[in-house]
Amino acid sequence: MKPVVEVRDLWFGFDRQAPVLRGISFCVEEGERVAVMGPNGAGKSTLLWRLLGLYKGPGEVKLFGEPVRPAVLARLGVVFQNPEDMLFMPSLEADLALPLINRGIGRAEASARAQEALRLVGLEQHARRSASSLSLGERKRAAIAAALVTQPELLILDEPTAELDGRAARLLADTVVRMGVTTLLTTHDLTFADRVARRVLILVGGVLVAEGAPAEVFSVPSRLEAWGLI
Amino acid sequence: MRGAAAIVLLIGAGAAAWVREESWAAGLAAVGVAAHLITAPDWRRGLPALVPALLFAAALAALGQFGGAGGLLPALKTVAVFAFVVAAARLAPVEPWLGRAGPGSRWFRGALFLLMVRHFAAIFGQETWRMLVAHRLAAPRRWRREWFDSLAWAMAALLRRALLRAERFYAAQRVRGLGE
Repeated sequence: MKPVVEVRDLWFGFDRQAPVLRGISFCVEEGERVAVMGPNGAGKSTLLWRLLGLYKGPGEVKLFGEPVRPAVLARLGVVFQNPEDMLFMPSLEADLALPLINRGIGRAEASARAQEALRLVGLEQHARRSASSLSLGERKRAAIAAALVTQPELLILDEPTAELDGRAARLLADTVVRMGVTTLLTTHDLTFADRVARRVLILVGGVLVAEGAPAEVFSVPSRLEAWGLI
Repeated sequence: MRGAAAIVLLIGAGAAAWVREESWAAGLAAVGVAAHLITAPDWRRGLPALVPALLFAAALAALGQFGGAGGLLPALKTVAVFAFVVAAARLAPVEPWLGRAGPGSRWFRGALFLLMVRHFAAIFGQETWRMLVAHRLAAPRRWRREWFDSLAWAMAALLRRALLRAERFYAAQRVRGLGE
């Protein structure tokens, strides 16, 4: 298996006295689905931003064996916590086609690929509607389609179930599993992580404190309570 | 017609960025705000989108005063440029422009920029509206000292929130390859 994400001794802090990430190291292999879990404020989203090169700091990040740079980012699909940060065009189809057109793909092909990505997440009937007219659950799935449309080799999801009801979260989990793409996600949702991830990493206070299969890591309620996950 | 009006408004934004006199900047800011409110679906919905820009301008003016630079020119220019560009983004037939322009061309990038501005103004409006509703619920008795105090804190929180949303929106578009 090839490593897709390699993180070594990653540190980051907005304030030197109180680092948010403290010596994080882990690896995600091709085909894996890994969930970084932790309570609010554990540093999950900061870790993703650092991985994407949006924050700088000590430590090493390699994606597909290379340092983070625009050509490497083009191989990723990223779904941010708030779909409104990603989708702004007058229709979902236009939103999805835009990065393809921007990469020089013809409009007809971009449109066909946008339709296909919407079909994968079950939103093909909403192709002509704007993201703002959809429910939050649908917007999240649309954001996943927007990330998938460029056929990424790695899908990154930041708190995908935030503000979703149980049914929408289940639909989203089914969608992510069905895609079959190497996935790294952050969440504090145990049910979602159990459905989606083959491996979970527990991040507490900027430090990885545990790692393993969900069934194994979630088996001791007292530990989950100590980590702030229940 | 709408396209021509949008281009005139963009010229107004360019002029506001270029002027060196406070009086001219103030005049252009007034015209820009009027254009902003006229082009909004209704002015009460247009006003909230302007609030974060006004707060940012106020912060700029305050920093200028504390820093000894003085003058309201940067703040007035900020308001004028923001108001003109948002008004232009509302009027511009951006979708047909995007459809006709070659990918990567200046016209394509310009149309994309206007679309992003329009979307971001809507986000500003929503954030302001939420904050004002929360403030109204938290401090229902108006025109008292506590009401003004809490409003000031709410506005400071709104400015922080607007900056955070701007950072996230930029990051999302950058990762999608559209932000450069």
